[in-house]
Amino acid sequence: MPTVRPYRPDDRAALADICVRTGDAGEDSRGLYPDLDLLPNIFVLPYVEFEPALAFVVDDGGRAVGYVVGTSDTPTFVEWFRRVWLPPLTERYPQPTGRPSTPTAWMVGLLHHPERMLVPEVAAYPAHLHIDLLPTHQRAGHGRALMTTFLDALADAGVAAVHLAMAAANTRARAFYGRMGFHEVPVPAAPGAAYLGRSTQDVQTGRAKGMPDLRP
Amino acid sequence: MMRSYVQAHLDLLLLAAIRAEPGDGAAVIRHLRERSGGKFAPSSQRVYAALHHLERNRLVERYPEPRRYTLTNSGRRSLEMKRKELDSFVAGVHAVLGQGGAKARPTRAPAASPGSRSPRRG
Repeated sequence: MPTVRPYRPDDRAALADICVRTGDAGEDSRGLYPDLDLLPNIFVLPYVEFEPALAFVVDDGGRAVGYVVGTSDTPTFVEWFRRVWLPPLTERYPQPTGRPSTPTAWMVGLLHHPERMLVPEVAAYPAHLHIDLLPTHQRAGHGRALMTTFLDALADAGVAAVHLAMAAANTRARAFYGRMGFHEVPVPAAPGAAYLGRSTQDVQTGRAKGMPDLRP
Repeated sequence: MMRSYVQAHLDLLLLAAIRAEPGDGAAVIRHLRERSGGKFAPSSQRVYAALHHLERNRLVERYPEPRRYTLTNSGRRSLEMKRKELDSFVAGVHAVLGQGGAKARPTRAPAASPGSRSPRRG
């Protein structure tokens, strides 16, 4: 029975693998981004480096098959990303010049602009997260268990609200976040992305939704 | 129409105004109005809301005494990024409109990006 547990440093390779297998709006991204380290260097590894206490995995027989990572404080994470995380990567991933002509060039552009994460509409949701599960382990409640653990950890740390950004095309993920109590935050400047947010309080309310009320 | 353009680019305009001239909210509004030749007059309510978001995202810092906003490192980076995006968009619009349209325009700087021509940019 897979269980949720805190992240350990020896999960890094498994997390990177999950990231690339789910990195194209939920689908396998390995054909789109041939460098298999690129997406993990943007969407997973900086988080487990900066705030490992907020990283959790679904462990199936000793192997991580899903994760949630994030930061409790997006502006501080962005400063750290710019100052500490990015410099060692610029030789391998030089900043693209001009209009990006490939998906990889576009993605490297994201790597070089961590300030893109500072979106005014979600300024009141200081934390943000990324969550991914291998397709073999989806629709079994593991996503809910990861998210609940993450939201509880944020609440324990005194963080009031969290946001996430997703590809608007990923309808299954959108439905999952809706069930987890996230609401849409309109960001007109980002038409291809959906921004969602929620409070870290009342984490269990989503679970009760649709179930009979057994209270007297 | 001008109002919706200003609203869509308010963060860029505020960051540019603060970089050119750190000041309080009223000074930022004055700067926008003066540099745009009176064209940009966003409501103080919208400006204060936007400044609050910029501050929460630590793109600007607010000093209490004398009360003024300044850009953070993230704010400077964000300004450059937004400016490049807008430049690219404006260039695309002009390309689509064609040479005749571009020549027919007044010779002043593009109205939507007063900060981008700031002489303080070194």
